[in-house]
Amino acid sequence: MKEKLFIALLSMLLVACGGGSDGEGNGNAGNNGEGNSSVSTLVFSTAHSPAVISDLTSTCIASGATVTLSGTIQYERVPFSSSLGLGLNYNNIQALPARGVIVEALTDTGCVADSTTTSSTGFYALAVEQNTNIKIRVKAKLSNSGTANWDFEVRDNTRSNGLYVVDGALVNVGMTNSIRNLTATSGWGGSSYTGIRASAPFAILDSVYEAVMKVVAVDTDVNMDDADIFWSENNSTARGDKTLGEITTSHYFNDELYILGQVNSDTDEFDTHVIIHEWGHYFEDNLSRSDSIGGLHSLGDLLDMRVALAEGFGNAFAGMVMDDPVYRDSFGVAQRRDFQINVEANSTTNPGWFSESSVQSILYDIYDANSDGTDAVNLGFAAIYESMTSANYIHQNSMTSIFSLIHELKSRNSGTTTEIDTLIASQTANNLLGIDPIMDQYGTGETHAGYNTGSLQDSLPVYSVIRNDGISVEVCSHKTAKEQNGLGVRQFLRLQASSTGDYAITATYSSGSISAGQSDPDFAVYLNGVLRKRARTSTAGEERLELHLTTDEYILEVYDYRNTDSMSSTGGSACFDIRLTAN
Amino acid sequence: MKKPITALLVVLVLCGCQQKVDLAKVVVADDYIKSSLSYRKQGALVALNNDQVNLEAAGVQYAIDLSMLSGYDSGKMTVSITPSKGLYILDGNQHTTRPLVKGKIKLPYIVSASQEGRYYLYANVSIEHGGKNTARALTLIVQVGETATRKTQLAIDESEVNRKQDGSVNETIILLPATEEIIQ
Repeated sequence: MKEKLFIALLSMLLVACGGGSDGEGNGNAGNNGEGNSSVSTLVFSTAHSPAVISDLTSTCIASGATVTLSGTIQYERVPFSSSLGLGLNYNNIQALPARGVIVEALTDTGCVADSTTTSSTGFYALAVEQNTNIKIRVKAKLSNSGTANWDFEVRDNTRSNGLYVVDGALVNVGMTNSIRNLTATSGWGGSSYTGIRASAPFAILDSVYEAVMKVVAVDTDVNMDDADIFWSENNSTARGDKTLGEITTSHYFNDELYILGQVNSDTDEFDTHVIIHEWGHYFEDNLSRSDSIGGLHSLGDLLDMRVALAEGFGNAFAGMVMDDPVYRDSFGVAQRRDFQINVEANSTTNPGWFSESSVQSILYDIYDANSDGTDAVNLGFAAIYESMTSANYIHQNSMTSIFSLIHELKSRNSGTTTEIDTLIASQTANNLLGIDPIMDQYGTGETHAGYNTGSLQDSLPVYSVIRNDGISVEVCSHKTAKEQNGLGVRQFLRLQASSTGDYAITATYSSGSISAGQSDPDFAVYLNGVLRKRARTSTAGEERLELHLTTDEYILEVYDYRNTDSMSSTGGSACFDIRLTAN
Repeated sequence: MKKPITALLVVLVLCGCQQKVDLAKVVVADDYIKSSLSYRKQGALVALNNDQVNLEAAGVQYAIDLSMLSGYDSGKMTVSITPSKGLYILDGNQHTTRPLVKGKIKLPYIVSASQEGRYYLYANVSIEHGGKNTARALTLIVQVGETATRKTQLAIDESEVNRKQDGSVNETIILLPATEEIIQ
């Protein structure tokens, strides 16, 4: 006789003492066999902190007959208001399936009797030995090993990088199949968070799930590196100690994503586009290539072309994954405000090859099936994916930019080059702001400089060429656009040595709005995007580097350090004669 | 009659511990840790000039500046400031709107903390520029005294995942609540 038992399992907080999985041991949690509901008693140290447990698990195998435990795992998502600008709508919290997450059946000794992954509807089924005490554990973990591989976990960077899990009650499974449905709750109490924000890690994971599935749909044997996603209710925009939640902003770096969670300031766990944008950087880092130097950026900025591509791609990618071009980021008191970016919008401020707005507009138009304005391209994600993950793109001599990506796309989709050129041309406003037809990965023939530099050399050509032929090349570093990662701070040269051997590269001040004594030239040498050597002494007006070169083409990046030091009182326009000489 | 009532209201609206500003005793903070710009997500082109201000002692009133760098030469900025628990803003405009200028923008405050520790000033910054709205959340760390680490709610032992010879795994987990429905 089946009896429906409804157990409200509330948060079980234990003072961490290194003990075992005693989280359910509060008295009466469980099935008393008589159709009566039972409620776990709670032990809280605070109403807002989850239990931190040093947990010991092992694997065990059923020795007798088994029964099936099945059910649905859900999490509560707070959606955005249907009105732009009004942030999250806590009056419309939805229970959604937790897709692709790991579910385990644990015995009372912490032994894993069986484990599985939830389906796209959040369904799971496990086989466990009859008449054993079992609890269901749901891990904030997406994992797949097989034809396609991935492993993403959500952890708490303020509590020993612990893995977030949800445990059900320890209940005897009896002799027949049964159902256990679990829902990770939002913690919202009507006007503020009054409970633990249990659904947050699963909301983050579900956004990542969308991105992973987008990739798997076009690459069924993709192999993704493991990555950790760190979230905590303590994660704020303070810049300091990450173990205290001082993470600066939601960001990606080196196989780790950090996501904001500080209420009434900035939370990102329900901001799907924000999370997928950051995962997009993981995608570039692991499956493609990005030479971006990061830094502060905003729509309308004239950026280093590498940054423009990375940030524009991230925004466009989020739109592609969700098939929704409107990026929304909630913030403020009770998360009731948001700002938006519509990547389908073709009108951009300061368009050009240095604009993330132009990049996102171009890439999204290449992706989507909506032919609007000058957009007659609808290649879908597969074409973009194949271009970005191609050996040609990953190992390109040049730096990653809209030039190299579009060049690769056009070479692989020759039937749409005219339409792509039309799309590119739509991102031109005047003789300074725009993009010329892309002929190659180096932006050869580009005529839009971004801004006037008077008589000084501007950011064109996109790449100069330097050889050991006795001829110096002048390039100038400007912070006219913006400090550190603005267009013109760094200039690029294609460095071509005539033979393998030892060489010297020198940069000598030649002119500028600042004096030689105020300038500090530095440079870096890359081969296929990999940094080979860097010269960054503090010698005013000159820099020198000796290195061994082959006949491969390197990229030399030259800049004035004082245009990157984030100080408004230093730097300016400084020009340098660059020479390559054999030693 | 109005003046005493006004004074009373001023005292009452001072948040937290009902302190009032004693200008003669206010100490001007001068120990800031400067911000070095690093990667930022989408948002307004504003950033804090300093990551952190260090204040020597609790129970002392300090004059601090929330100093921001703006990349806008026109438009309007609205800033809302909230302190973390235990930090009190005794003077200064916690909600202000002002015209945007390129470069440094300083908002002065007088703050005091009830005890040593690590606190935060949370700033929600909304920007109207060129007909578009954007925003950014900024947070200034206010370190009071020598306490290096914010007190945590639970004692936590650092543990790494280590796989033992019997195949068992010891890992730190963060146990979250859920509602469960069992149908047998």
